[in-house]
Amino acid sequence: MTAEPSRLHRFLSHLVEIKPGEERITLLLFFYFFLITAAYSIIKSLRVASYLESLGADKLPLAYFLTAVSIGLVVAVHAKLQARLSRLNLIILSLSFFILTAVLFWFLFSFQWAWLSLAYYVWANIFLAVVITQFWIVVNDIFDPRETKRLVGLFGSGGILGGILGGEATGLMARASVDTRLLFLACGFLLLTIVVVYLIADWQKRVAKTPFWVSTEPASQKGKNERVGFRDCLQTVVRHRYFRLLAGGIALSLIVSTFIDWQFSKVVEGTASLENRLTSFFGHFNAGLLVLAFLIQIFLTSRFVQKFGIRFSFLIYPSTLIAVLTGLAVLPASLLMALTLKASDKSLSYTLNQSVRELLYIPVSPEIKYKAKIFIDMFLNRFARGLGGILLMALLSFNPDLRFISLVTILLILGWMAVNLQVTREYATVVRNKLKKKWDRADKMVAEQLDLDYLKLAFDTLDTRGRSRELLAMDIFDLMKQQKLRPEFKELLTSSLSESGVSSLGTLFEEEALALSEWPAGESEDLFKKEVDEIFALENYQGLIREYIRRALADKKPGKEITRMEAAKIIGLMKPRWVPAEELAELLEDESPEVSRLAMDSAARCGQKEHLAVIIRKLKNPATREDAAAALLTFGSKITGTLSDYLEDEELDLETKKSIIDVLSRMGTQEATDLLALELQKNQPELDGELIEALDRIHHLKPGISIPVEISRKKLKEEIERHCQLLLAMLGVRHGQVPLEGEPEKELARSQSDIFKLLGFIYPGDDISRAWQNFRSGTKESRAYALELLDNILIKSDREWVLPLLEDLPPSDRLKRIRTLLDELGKP
Amino acid sequence: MKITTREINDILIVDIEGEIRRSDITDLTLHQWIKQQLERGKRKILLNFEKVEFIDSFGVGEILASYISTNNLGGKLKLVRISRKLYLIFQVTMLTRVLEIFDDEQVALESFFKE
Repeated sequence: MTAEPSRLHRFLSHLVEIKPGEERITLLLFFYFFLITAAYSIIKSLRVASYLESLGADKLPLAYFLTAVSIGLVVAVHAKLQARLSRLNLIILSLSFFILTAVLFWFLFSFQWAWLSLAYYVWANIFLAVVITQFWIVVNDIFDPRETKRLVGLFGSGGILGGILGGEATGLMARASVDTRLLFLACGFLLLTIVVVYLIADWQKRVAKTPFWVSTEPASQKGKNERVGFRDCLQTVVRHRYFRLLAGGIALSLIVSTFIDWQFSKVVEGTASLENRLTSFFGHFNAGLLVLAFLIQIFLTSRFVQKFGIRFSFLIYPSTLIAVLTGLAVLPASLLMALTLKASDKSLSYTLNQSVRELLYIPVSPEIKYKAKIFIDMFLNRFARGLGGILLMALLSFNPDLRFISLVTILLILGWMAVNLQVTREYATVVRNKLKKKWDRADKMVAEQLDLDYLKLAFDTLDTRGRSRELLAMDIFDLMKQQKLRPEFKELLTSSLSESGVSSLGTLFEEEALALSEWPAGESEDLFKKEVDEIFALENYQGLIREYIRRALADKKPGKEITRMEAAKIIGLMKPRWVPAEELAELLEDESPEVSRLAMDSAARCGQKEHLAVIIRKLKNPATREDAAAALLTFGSKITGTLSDYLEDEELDLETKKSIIDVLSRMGTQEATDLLALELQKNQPELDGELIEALDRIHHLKPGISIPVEISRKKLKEEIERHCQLLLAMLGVRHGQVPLEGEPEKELARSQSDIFKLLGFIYPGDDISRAWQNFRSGTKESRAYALELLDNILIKSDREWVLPLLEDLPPSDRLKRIRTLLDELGKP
Repeated sequence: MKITTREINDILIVDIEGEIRRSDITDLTLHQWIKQQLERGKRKILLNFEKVEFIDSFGVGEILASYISTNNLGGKLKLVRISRKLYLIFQVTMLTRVLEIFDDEQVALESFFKE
């Protein structure tokens, strides 16, 4: 029974795809972001006003410089504290520090020291860098990438709403140009933030998602004396390509943003209609922008990232800017164009771009992620803005026109897009590395470690009960002929002779004194083989053996099986000197599986295709199946065509067909693979499982063999459709409709496994194996990462077919998704 | 060959009695039986060979096929209490490189939990 969703859940699910149980934490994060940005809006407005009033715009570069230096120090201190304090204590300590210093600034402002506004300016920037970075660190602690994609639209919009309301509150409540009493309002918001953070910690404790919320971080547990500071954070970024790319992309985006700011200001400045109305114009425009950003964030961001994936979403912002800048470069500069540019920049930067950027950190290991994050978000952020300003000033010294700056900006954006593409590619690697490969296909390991032919012959040689000494001698000679009479095997037989307790093995040797030590070895082994071979070639000998075989075939009394076994064995040893086809055919039909085994082996060694029909027939019987398969494999790839004819025979029983598929997969040639793929293309549901398994085996064991992608994709679509039908039937059962016959859960599991195997034929097998293994037997988190990997490596159509089947959804949502998917799959 | 089962925690202990050879097979081979257990979701299987007298090449094929099927699904198949003679043969044929074989059932059971 699934509990009825709450009213709150129903309301929130109109905004984002939220699952039951996620409402509380999502709203807590919404309020966390809301409160810190509301506080920041107030602090920011005071920052600008007090600085301009006390020191003037000319001294702003000094403020920029001091901010950069101070942020560097803050990164160092934050990194140290982060390594020594629990997440909860770190955040509470930071918020308390900002509350106390805000009150201190209020007090000091009463002295009207001009340079205090400089200190306040730097402090406000530090406040922004610290609290915003800490907020996103908390998001990283709590959510996996799948959850973030679904929910970032909602909790991220809290930040934008906080910005709007904080700004409006400042406007409404300010009674002077620099009303420092507003700092108390900011402190009020920060006090409420502390409450929210405690509630988040309480939630964390209950779900125990990240234990370092209440103890120290995993990185610091390695050693409390580990030196952590600015340099360590910088080195973390420099050492890892992923962080270098991420930092490069962020730096380029901020430089571009600086260039866009200038272009916008330039066009507005030159617009005569706005003279004397600049302040009110910007006020309305900025408010409008924030509302637009809020709407984009809450209604579009999550939906967009979920539908189009990280790569495409991360390119939307720069591509939009290129489109608008191209207009600005080609068309005459207009206010509309400039407004469009600015609106695109600010609305997408704070919403889609920031959300994707934060998502990119989530799969990284916590040991390095947080060091890199504080460096990039706190220091690089400021540094890149400064660098953008310097570059712009350098360019402006050449007196370029607006068009030229637009073209330079476009070039910068192209570089930024290239970096973004690289980052998103690396993101898939980071997600992949997060997924541990839990096991390898065992057949590969068995094939590598064991000589199966030797293994079987050794066991049969040692199975001496009721056997004749001739048969044993032939087995040993067989091993010798195949260069497989290994010293350790001889030793085992010899030691068995001397062990009185191992009677079954030793009896024969004791009676006949057939000591292994007397068997030829080294050079005399070759001579021995030659002598035996010469005897096999003698016509008189062949006549005698034929007579012996005929007598053996004539006497099928109980207990005479051993004579027929000898007959079946000697034929294989005598090839190619002499092959009595008729007698062999009769031995193949023998009722005894032991005789039949030796006869099939001999027929295969002789390569006589006329016996194939009998051998294939033996595939049906479990007692002879494996020996028949081994014999067919001895024939090799020359019988692929014959096996294909049998597979096409509609009269042939299912068990034999399945065994033929197994033989073809063990052959593992390209021809066998193509044949299996063609069979897969046909509509044979009863054989699909075996065919997919056979191809999967080849795919893993023979990486050079290719499986046609078109066939795999067509089958994937069919399997997904079948999976949907199974799910619908299962959900129907739960809803009290007609129950399904058979075992739907088993069928569903099999179908899911087949879907992954088919994906493995289209995409890198190792990626799909990791995804499958973690999806099937991992934790909730590793399941989420498995899906995230698929989300990032599958092409759009495959992604849209596969993911809805695997996502963990409430039954009603699943039902809806499946129905939509079935409609989609039904379209030509 | 006769099969009886016990289950300790989620480990399926399979007590095999008799011989695993092609001339003695019943309706269901050992591999087919193991595949059924895998379909039922069993992933930790311990084959108790205490009462297995002998296995031929067919039996080895069955054990290896069962091992492969289990491992390919992320499970574990181990052997316990095989006779000294059989162990020697397993050693000579290098089967001990692939299969995990224990003398003591308790140790074998604990080995599943250690992984």
